[in-house]
Amino acid sequence: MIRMKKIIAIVVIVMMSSSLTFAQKYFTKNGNVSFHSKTAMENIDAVNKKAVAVIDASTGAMEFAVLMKAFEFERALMQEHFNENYVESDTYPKGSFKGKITNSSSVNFTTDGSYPVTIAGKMSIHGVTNDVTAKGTIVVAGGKINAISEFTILLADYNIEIPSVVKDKIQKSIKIIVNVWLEPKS
Amino acid sequence: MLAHQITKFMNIKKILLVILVLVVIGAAYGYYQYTRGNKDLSGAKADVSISAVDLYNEYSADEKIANTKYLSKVISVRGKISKIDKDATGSASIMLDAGSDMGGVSCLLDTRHNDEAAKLHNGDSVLINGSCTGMLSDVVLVRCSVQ
Repeated sequence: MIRMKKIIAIVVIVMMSSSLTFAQKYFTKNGNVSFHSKTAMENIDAVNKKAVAVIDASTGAMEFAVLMKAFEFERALMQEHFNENYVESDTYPKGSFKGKITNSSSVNFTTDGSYPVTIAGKMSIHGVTNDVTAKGTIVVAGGKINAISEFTILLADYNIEIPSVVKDKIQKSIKIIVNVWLEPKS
Repeated sequence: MLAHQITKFMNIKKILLVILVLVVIGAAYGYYQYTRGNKDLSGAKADVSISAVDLYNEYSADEKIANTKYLSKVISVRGKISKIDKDATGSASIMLDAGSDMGGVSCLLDTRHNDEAAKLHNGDSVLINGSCTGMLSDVVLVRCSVQ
């Protein structure tokens, strides 16, 4: 009888720990997503510190969402132009990415380390959705994970038109930098 | 005749001077517009004064309508602090309780006011000024400061 209890206890513990390792989701509401454009005339940097991100360690699925108006520029005028003329954030207030880590089996979410990953999914900005693939890194450190990626998108792919007067000041392809720290979701 | 020519010359000089002054003012205004940073909303006159509970409930009820009312507006929001978060870069966000388990009103402090987070505690009642950017899981205000 005691033995039986012991076995049940072990089974329960194993089930609990496996559900912890396999059904673990990581989450943040304070992720950093920035973008960068560089031409001979002008450097433009904008950062959004309120990205919401979820990564499911068991499937490698990931979702990111940002509010376009939460991108902060050093210069207020650029921020106004970005919102009013380019991404039209009153009409399209959100940007999102839904996809997965294609090689998630090579990431050990329970062992500290740095794992190179490839991400594929769909990104929506300005009411337009496109397929995106990107290289990135998942760093596992003390139970938290740091997801890092840099990739470029073409503004034209998202129907964002740059008026000819400023075409020398804004790159046609914009570099997007993702750097988010996620914590286990309780 | 000579006197006439001199006054004519003086007039041209005056006109040129006025044009020069206008050009300088224009250039200065243009430069100011081009380089100005985002305004510090601390002490700024709010477009809307509302409680965190009401703001969150309006967004939960109809995000589209709430966006037309609040997007990009300077909001003066009052509520109780439920959480203070710092991201990896040290930027602080103050979460105001909205009476819901699903979310609240999250206020990212203006970098000029980031230190204010150190003086705050969970449960404190505060009044925060910020610019509304919409809703993800929470209603998000940026460029915030405690009033």
